[in-house]
Amino acid sequence: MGVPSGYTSAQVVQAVPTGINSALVFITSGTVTLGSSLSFDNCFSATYANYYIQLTHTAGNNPAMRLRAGGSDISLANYDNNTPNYQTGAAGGSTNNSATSWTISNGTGYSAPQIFLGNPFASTNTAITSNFNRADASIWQVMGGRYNATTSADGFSIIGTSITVTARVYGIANS
Amino acid sequence: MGKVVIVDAITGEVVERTQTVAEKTQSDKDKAEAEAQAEALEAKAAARQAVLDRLGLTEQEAQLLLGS
Repeated sequence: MGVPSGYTSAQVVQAVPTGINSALVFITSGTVTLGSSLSFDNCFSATYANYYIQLTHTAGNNPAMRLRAGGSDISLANYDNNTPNYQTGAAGGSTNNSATSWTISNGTGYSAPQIFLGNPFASTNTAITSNFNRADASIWQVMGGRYNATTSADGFSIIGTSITVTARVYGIANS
Repeated sequence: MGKVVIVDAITGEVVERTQTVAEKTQSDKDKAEAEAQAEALEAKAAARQAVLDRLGLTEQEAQLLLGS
């Protein structure tokens, strides 16, 4: 399909036109290079209930994710997750409840992790699903979890040690 | 102190700075926890492989037996 008249391939959707009932709406993006965290403030709001976050992770081990509110990370021990994985020919996984962050990967070299967040801004539990497929194909894993408290979050952080990560944040517009 | 990048989605402002002392303390704690989790996973995988080696089974044969 070609690019419609009046549009260029570089354009992204910033608002949902009348008559379009659903879309991924670009909100913001950012990059940290060999840093300890990449944080976003005010990216979650009442406008969208659910969000899609596309990561590109190219350096640093074990990046994790944490919700933010009012410009600060929420570091309370309310992050639950169950993570089945497949590593070097063997099925495995872990359950990690009451942690202080979500472990969204174990290792380095993940090429394009995908994260869905459900209801981060609402004063209810936040649901998370993430999928990682390491670039060297030695590990894939899926993580499902929740933030087990009725906290309204307006942002999030990707945390780690000397991580290079780019994140693009989209709101999911529903009909 | 590590580097911190903070993006404000409303204003578009991007702040890049070094960690505060409190952030560094939390970061060190996070790193220790992440390393402990990774080591636990590796230990679990190694223990599984040791059992398979004792039984003389391949991973594929174990999956057939256990349905995993």
